[in-house]
This record gives sequence, structure tokens and C-alpha cells, in this order.
Amino acid sequence: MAREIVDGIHWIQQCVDHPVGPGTDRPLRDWHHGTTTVHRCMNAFLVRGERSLLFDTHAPLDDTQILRELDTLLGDDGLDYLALSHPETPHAGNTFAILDAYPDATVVAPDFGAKHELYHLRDSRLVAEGETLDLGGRVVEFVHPTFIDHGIHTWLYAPDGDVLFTVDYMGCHHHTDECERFVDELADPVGMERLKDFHQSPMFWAKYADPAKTHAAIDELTAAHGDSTLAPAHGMIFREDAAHYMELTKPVIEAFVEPLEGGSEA
Amino acid sequence: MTPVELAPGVHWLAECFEEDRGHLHVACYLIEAPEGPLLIDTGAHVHRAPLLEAIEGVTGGDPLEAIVMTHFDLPHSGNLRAFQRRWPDVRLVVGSPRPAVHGYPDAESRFRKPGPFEAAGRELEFLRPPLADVVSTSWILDHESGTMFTADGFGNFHAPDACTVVPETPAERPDDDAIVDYHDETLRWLEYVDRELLVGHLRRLFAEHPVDRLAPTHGNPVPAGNVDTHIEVIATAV
Repeated sequence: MAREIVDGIHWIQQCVDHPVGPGTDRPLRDWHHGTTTVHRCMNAFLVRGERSLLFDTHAPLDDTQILRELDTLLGDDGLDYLALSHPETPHAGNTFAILDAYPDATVVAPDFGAKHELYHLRDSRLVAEGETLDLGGRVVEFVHPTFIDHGIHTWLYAPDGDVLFTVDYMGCHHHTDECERFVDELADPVGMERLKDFHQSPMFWAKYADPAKTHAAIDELTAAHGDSTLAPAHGMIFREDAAHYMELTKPVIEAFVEPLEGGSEA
Repeated sequence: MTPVELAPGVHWLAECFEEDRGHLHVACYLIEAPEGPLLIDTGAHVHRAPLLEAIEGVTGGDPLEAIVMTHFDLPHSGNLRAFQRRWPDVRLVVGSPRPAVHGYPDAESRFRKPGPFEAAGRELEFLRPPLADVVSTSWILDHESGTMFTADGFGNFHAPDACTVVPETPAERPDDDAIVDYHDETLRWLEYVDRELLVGHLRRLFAEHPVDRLAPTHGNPVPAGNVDTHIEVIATAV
């Protein structure tokens, strides 16, 4: 069931079993507390003013949940905008299913590069960094994505509610009884281990990272959004202490760096 | 589009896409394997008809035996469902750990089975790539021909008259700007890396897995003699 983050912004979480421990390539961590199944998730967010915008679509392993939740939340109102953070399957894979249900929705995609036709996005509304969309009584802004994988990429910011949608940054896995919980509601705090477990995937490039560069980027983020609510695509919502949790990703990234044995071969 | 044979039985299906900065390859590769034709990636949906024609021109109408995917990003998987419908018995092998998340629950994942494997009687190997645009990307090494299929790594923009050029010498390689611009646009995370560390990891990969050529999705093939120069050029995008 969708959960309201702030007035007019709903979080729709799609959970998938994520086996850990013996028989998998994912070691047991302290935060697992002995369980061998946790959840990873794909999040979509419905933002409403007088008009509605869905940010991301869930993964195509199932489209029934997102369609059901949209039906409940929108009722007889249509969906006005379907905005894609990036055209990668876990984020955009249900685009066609959603457009079948809401054929009048306008697809909105990041205006980066020139390969949109390869992603079925040629006829989409392309938005540049800094561009805003007026939903009627609420404006959203497509902002620079600090940490990304896929090049055609955007983050979203809702000033009314101060919610920053951080897509593949600030995600984490969760226990099976933690679905749809805000981070501040967890009995087990989100620490470096949880953040590491998640970020080793989207930050696959961090093996070669220069921590000075990533730390500077995190500092910029915390300066701008240290008090914002953070809504990632693959985890739970950080309503409090955003600066603290973003600061935690500094040692997370440092831990990913893989120095070459015997020094650089460059 | 006429396939270009890079090595005996290894065909480059070099479709192009026009961009602001020139042409960009959106390629897949067809291998004439002992047990039947094997396709590396499936290209973009906009090139479906010419790709089908090119594939059947090489195979003589024989069905594909296997499709082996570097990853599911649409320029690489844009024809995957169509090709599965065209050849219903084709084996699908991927390096991704969770193909179900991408809508392919029946794909055979090799993520937890590292090392060489056989597809259509050909020995291949998935490798974790230093250069990728999305997580769960694999490079694919064809042991027989020494061809490494590098997906989004080692790409370049090119001029309209260079669509099927296969550089053989250092002088024939793409312009440095064409290589840098491509990586700058495609691998935006390069802004956060340590140049020497990245170069070192790339060199180590090729020391551990010597190749005869690189076969990118979005670039002209790279002969072994040009690999190190390409690495140096890519590093300037950092």
C-alpha cells in the first residue's frame, strides 16, 4: 500500500526477496541479525498538485502493484505525467503498461545526449537540468543527479515538502518487516554496513574513485539538502538527518576503492 | 548493412545512429559457432529489419542457437523479445544476477558461475568490466577468436564514411576527441575517478585476458595493438 511522505507525495514500494548468507555470494552482515532473506526494492513516487506526476515505474517483474496503487490514488483522475529518472529497466520498465492504463499521460525524460530514440523516448517531453514543471499548486524541479550510472539521468526535487528524489543514491536493503517504514521509524538504525551493501551495485565505478572528488560532491549535496527529506529509488525514506546519512556515504565510497597491488600500473 | 567479418566466423553487424556529434554505432555481433549461430546483444529496435536481414544473410536462415547479453540497456536489448519470438528455442545467457527484474525470468544467469562457459559449442566468458554505463554489465570474451565484446566501453563517435572501418594500425584509430567525447557522454561517473587507478585496472584486465581485438557496441573495433593507446585517451576523459 502506498504511503504518504508529505502532503501530496506518495511512496509506492516494490519489494523483492534478496537472499543473503550461505548459498549466495552475499555475506551475512551484522545488520542481518542472522536472517537469510532481506528485501531490495524499487520505489515509485506519485506527486500531486492539481495535476499528477509519477516518478519511475517499478521493475517489469510485476506491473500489477503499480497499476493497482495508481488506481487507488488517482481514482477517476488520470495520470498527467510519467517522469523517468533514467531509462533503465528497474526504473522505467513498466512505462508501456502504465501508458496503456493512462494513455493521456505525457512521458517526461531527461534531456541529455541524443540517443532518446533508442529508448522509445523520441516523442517524450525532454527536460533539462533546472527545468521546472508546474503541477498546479505544486512545482517540481528536475535537478542535477550527483551520483549516477546511466548517462540519461535526472533527480527530482519538490520544494513544497522539501523532498529530494535521489534515485540510485542513498538506497539500502531492508528487513522483511521494515517495508514502507521511514528510516526514523526503524528499531535498527541505518548504518554504514547497510549503505555499503546497497551502494556496491550502483556505485560499481567506486573501485576507481578519487574520494576527494566524491567527498566534495557530497559536501555540495549536504549544503543544499542537509535538511531535506531524501527519497531514493531503492530504499527507505530519510525524513530526518539527511546530512548525517549522506556524510556516512563518504567512508562507504572510500571502502569501495580498490588500490592496485604493488602500486599503480599506469 | 553488410556484416564485416572481424575474424573467421565473427561478424560485426554495424548499424549506426546519427547524433549531433556524428554517427554512433549500435552494434551486435554474430558468431558462427559449432552448434549454430550465436548473437552477442541484439541491437536497437530501430534497426530491427536490417539486423534480421543481416543475420539471415550470414546464417542462411538457420535459427539462432544462443543469444548472449552484455546487459539489458535498450540499445543492446532492443530486439531481444522480437528475436525470442522469431527463434523460440534460442538459449538466452546473461551475466546479470537478476534477469527477472529486467523482465526475463527464464534467462540463464552466469553471475554466480564465473569462468568460461559454452554457448552453441563456443567457449565464452563473462568478465566484470571497468567501463560500463549501468550495473550488472558484463564484457564477453570469445576465447577462440580472442575478441572481447566491451559493450559501452571503448566506444567512439565516427564520421559517416567510417561506419565499417576496422582499424588495423595506430594511425587508423578514431580521433582522440571522438573517443573522449563518447566516454564523457556515456560514462558520466568518470568525473569521480582516479585516473591512474582506472588506467591501472584496465591494464591489469588486459594483462590477465590478452585479446586480439576489442569489439565495442558503440565504436569501431580496436585491434590489440591500439588497446593501450585507447586506454590513455579514455583516461583523458577523467
